Amino acid sequence: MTQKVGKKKPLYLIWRIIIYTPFLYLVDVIAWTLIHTSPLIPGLLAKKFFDMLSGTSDIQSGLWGLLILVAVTALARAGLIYTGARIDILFRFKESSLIRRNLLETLMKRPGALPTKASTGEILNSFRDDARQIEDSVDWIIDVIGTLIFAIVAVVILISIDAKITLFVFTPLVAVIAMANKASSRIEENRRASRKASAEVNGIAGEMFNSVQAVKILGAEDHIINQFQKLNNKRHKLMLRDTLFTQLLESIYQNTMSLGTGLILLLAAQSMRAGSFSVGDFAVFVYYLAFVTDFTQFYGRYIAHYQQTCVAFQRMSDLMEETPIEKLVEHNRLYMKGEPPRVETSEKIKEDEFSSLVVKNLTYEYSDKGGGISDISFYIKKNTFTVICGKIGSGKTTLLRTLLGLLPAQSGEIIWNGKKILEPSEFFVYPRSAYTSQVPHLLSDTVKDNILLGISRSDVDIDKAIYSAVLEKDISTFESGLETMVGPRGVKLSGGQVQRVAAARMFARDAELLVFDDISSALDIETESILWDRIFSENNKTCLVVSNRKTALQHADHIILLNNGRIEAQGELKELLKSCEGIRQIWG
Amino acid sequence: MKIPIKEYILLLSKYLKPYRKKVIILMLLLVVSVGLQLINPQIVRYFIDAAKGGAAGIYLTGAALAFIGISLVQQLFAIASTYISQDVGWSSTNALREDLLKHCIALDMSFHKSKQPGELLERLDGDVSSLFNFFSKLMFNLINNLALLFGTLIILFIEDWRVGLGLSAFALTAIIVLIRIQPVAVKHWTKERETNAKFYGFIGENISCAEDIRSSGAFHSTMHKFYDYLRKWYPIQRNAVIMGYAMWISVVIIFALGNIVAFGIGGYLWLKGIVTIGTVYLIFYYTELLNRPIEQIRFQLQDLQVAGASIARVKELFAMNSKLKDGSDILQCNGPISMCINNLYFEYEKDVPVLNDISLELQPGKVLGLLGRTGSGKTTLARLVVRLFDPESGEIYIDNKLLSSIQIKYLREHIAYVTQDVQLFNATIRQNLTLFNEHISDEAIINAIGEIGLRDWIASLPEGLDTKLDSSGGGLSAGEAQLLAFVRVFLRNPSLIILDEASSKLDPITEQLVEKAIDKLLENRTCIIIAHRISTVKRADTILILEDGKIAEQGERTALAEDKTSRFSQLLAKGIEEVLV
Repeated sequence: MTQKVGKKKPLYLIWRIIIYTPFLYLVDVIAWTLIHTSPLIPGLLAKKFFDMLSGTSDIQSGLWGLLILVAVTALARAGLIYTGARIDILFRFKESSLIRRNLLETLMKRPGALPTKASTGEILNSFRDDARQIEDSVDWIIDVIGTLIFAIVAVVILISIDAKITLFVFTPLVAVIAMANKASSRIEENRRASRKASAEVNGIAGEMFNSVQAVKILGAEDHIINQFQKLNNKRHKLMLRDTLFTQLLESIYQNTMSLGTGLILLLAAQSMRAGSFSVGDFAVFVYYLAFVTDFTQFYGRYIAHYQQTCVAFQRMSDLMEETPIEKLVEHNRLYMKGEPPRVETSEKIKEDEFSSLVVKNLTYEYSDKGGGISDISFYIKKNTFTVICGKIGSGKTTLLRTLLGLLPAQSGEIIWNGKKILEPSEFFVYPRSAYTSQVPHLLSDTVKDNILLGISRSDVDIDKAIYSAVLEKDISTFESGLETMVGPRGVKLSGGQVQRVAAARMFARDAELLVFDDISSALDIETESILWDRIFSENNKTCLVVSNRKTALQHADHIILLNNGRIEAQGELKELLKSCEGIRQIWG
Repeated sequence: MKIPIKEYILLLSKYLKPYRKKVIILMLLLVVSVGLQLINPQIVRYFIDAAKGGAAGIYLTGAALAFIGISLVQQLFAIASTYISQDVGWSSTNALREDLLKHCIALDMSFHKSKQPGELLERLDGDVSSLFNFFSKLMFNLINNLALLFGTLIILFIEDWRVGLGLSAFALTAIIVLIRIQPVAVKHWTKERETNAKFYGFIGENISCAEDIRSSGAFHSTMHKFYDYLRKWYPIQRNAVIMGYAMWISVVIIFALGNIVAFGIGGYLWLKGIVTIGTVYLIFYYTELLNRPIEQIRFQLQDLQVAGASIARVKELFAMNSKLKDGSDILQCNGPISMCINNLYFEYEKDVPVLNDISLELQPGKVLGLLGRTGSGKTTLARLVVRLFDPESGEIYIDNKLLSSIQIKYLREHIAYVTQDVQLFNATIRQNLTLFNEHISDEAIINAIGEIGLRDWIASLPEGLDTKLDSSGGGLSAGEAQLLAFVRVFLRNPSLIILDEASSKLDPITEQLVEKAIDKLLENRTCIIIAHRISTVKRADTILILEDGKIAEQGERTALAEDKTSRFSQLLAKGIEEVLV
C-alpha cells in the first residue's frame, strides 16, 4: 500500500522545492558562491607575502599595502556573509514551512478515523526532524556549488604554478569520493536503524505524557520507565554504531588534508632545493588544499546526507499513505506577509438541500483485526430520525465513519439526492452534514472557538446551539463564560461536558443532516432526557444516530439493527419488537 | 558572558561520575593528540630551511614521511576519542532522560493538565539531545581546543617573545569579542525554542483531533492557524539564526587580524635578520593552527548557548515539585478496607468550589453508589480518593490512615480506578493489559481475560496477545476498550475499587457479562460506583447524591428507596417511568 520513494525521486522533489522560490534560490546561490570563493584572495596574498620575503623588491612599502589588502578582503567577506545569511534564512524557512504545510494538510485530509500507523510522537518527529533534514539537503546544494567553484578556480591557479604536483596531490581526493560513495549504503542502513530507535523512545514517552492520568492510576510508572530504559539502551547502541561509522569516514576526509600536505612536501623537495618552487608557492598550495578538501569532504557528506534525506522522504511518504509523495512539495502559498484570506464556509445552495440519502452495499473491513461492516443498505428520508443500534462491536461506529468518509469504503455506493457521492469525506461536511463522534476531542482554545471551529460567529446562532446541547448551565458556571479556555492551558471539562461541547459544535452547524454517535454515553439520566427532548422538539431536522437508548428507539422513524457488521433487521420499532429477537434484547 | 558554569558542573559531575575511567582515558588521548598536532609545524619549518639550505634529499623525504605518519596516528586518536565521548554522552544523557521522565511522571495532575504532551516531549528529547552534544562533544572538544591554544602560544613564546606576545594579544582579543556576542544570542535562542515547542504542540494536538476537525469542516481554520504560527515564528527564528552568523562574521574579521599580526611581526623579524624564512612560515602555520581552535570555540560557544538554554529549562522542570507530598506509611491489606471522608473541600480554580463540605463513611466490603449530574463533582471525588489531587481542606482516611500519610505506591496497588475513557497505549494487547509489567505471566492474563468473557475475542485475533493496538485504539469499540480496562483491574488485587460509569457504554448483552464479572470483582472488596444510570447502582448499600459539589442526599439505599419524598426515589421513578412508557 505504501509507495517506495527510492533514490532518484528525492532529486526531483528537491528540484520542485528549489523552483518554489526560484529567484530567491538564485540570489542565494550567487551570494554563497561569492562567499565560498572569497578565500581565494587571502591565499594569493599569503603567496605574495612569502615571495616578497624571498624576492628583492621594496619589502617595507609592499608589506604595508599587503596588510591593508588583507583587512579590506576580510571586511568585504563579512558584508557578503551578512547579506547571504539574510537570504538563506528566508529561503530555508520557506522551504521547510512548505513541506510542513503540505504534510499537515495531507494528514488532516486523510480519512480521520483511520488509525495512523505512527504515534503522535513519531509524527511530530517527522514534522521536526525529517523536514529539517530535507531543508538541509536543498540548502546544502548551494554550498556544494560554492565550494566546487572555489575548488575549480583554485586547481586552475595551482596548475599554473606546478601542474605535476597539483596532479599528484589531488588524485587521492578522487579516491576518497569513490570510497564515500561505496560506504554510503552502510550509512543509510545505520541511520535508518538509529532513527527508528529514536522514534520508539519518543513514542513511549509520548504515550506516557498522553495518558499520564491512566499511568498514575494504574501504578504503571515503574514499568513504563523500565520500558523507556530498554528502548534508550537500544538507541544508545545503534546511535553509537551510526556515529562511529560516520566519524570513520570523516576521519578519512580529514586525513586527505594532512596526506596532501605531506605529498606536497615529498614532491616539492627537489624543486624547492633547486629554487623553482618558492616558499610562497608552498604556502598557497597548503592554503588552498584546506579549502579544496573542504569541497571533497562536503561532497562526501552531502552524499551521505542525501541517503538520509531519502530515508526522511520515505518516512514522510509512509505517513502520507496513499497520497503521492509529490504532494509534499506542491507549490502552495504560505501567507508569510499578511493574513490569508478567510475561507468562508460555503453558503448553503439549493442543491445541498436534503431530500434523500441512499446507501447501497456499503462495505468496510478492517484489514488486520477483523470486524467492520459489509453489505449495508438503507434509505433516509427528509426530516426523519434514524437510529442505528446493535451489540457492542457490531459495527455501528464503523458504519457512521464509513458513510462520512472518515474510513475509506471498500465497496458500495452513497447516493445523496439521487446523485452518487464519489468523495464522501469531501462531501459530508458543513453545510451538508455535521457529526459528533463517540469520544470527541477538543482543542486548547476557548469554548466558543471549539464550538465554532472554523465557521464565523455571524453565521451561527451560538446560544441556540448551546441550548440544544444542554450546555447553558455549565457555561454560566465558567469564569469567562464562552471565552473560557479549555484543554491543557485552561479548565478541565468532564467527559459529559466535552461530549456536549461537541454536540453544540454540531448543532451550531445547522446542517442538513445531523450524525451523532452515542451522544449520551457520558451523560447522566436527567441531562440525557433533556437533551433528547430538545433534539425531538425540532421537527425539521434529519438525524442519523447511533444509540441503544430506549428514548432514541421510541422516537425513531426508522431503526437499523446491526449484528456482526451486517444488517440483521430494519424498520419501525413496533414491527421489529414483534419480529426481531435482537431488538427485544436491546429493548430489555 | 553568562554561562551558568556552576550548573554545567553540577550536571556534569552527577551524570559523568559512573564513567570516571572512560573520562580519564579520553583525557589521555586528548593530551597525546594535542602534542602530535603541535609537532607537525616544526617538521615543516625544518623542511623549508633544509630545502633552502640545500640539504640532502633523504632528509627532506624523511621529514615529509614523518609528517604523514604523525598525521595518521593523530587521526586514529581522533576516532578513538569520538567513540568514547559519544559512548559516555549517550550513557549520561540517557540517565538524565530517565531521571527527567521519572520526575515528570511523579508530578501531580495539575502540572500535566497545564502542559501539552508535545511540549513535554520537546523538553525530554529536544532539550536533552542538545545536552547530549554538550556531554559528548562539547566538553571534550573545548578542553582539546583550549590545550591546543595554550600549547601553540607557549611554543610561540619560546620561538620569540615578540611573536608570542603579539599572537597572545590576538587570541585574547578574539576570544573576548566572541564571548561578548554570546549572551545576546542565548536570549534569541531561548525565544526560538519556546516558539518551536508551541508550534509542535499545535501540530500534535490538531493531528490527534483530525476526526473532529475534518467532520466539522474546520480544516481551513486549522491551516489558518498554521499560517499565523509561521508569521510569528519567522522573525524569531531569523533573529536567532542571524546571531549565529554574527559569530562567523566576527571570526572572519578576527582571522584576518591574526594574519596581519603574523605577517607583520614575521616580516619585521625577517627584515631584521633575526629569523629564517622557515620560521616565518612556522609563525604563519601556527597562526593558522590557532584559528582552528578559536573558530571551533565559536561553534562550541554556540552549542553551549543552546545547551545553556536547555539546561535552564531542564532545571526548571526538575525544580517543579509535585504539590502532592508522598506519605511514609505503608498500606497492607488483604481484603476490604474502610474509607472515611470528613468535610472535604476542593477547587481547581480559585473560589470555584468543585467539592464543598463532603463527608461520608464506607465500611469494609460495602458498596457506595455515587450519583449526580455531569459536573456535579463525582469524577473529582474519585480523583481525590486515588490522590491525583489533594483537597483544599478536609481529610480522607483509608483503612483508618490519613490518605496523604500513605505512600502513593501503596495507594495505587490497593485502590483501582476505572475511568470513563479508557486510555490505550500504542503497544501490544499484552502490554496494554499489564502496563508494561513483564512479571505478569501469560497464564494470569489469559485467566483474567477469561473472567471477563473475552477469551474468544483474544483467540480470534491473528496474533493473540501480541496484537498491536494503535494509538487511537482503532478497531476496538468503546465497549471492548472498557472490557480491557476490567482485565487490568483483574490482574491486580485491589482492596478498594472505584468504577466511574464503567458500564455506561456497554450494550445490554455485554453488560450482563460485565455485571457478572463485577459481581466477582466486588467479592470481598470495598467499592464506589459512580453511575448516571440507576440500574448500575442496584448493588449499592449506601447512596450519595451530589449536586454542584454538595451532598444533596445521603443514606441507606433501601431506606431512601422507600422514602417517597427522597431524591433517590424520584430518580428511581423517572427510571421506572422510562421502562413503562
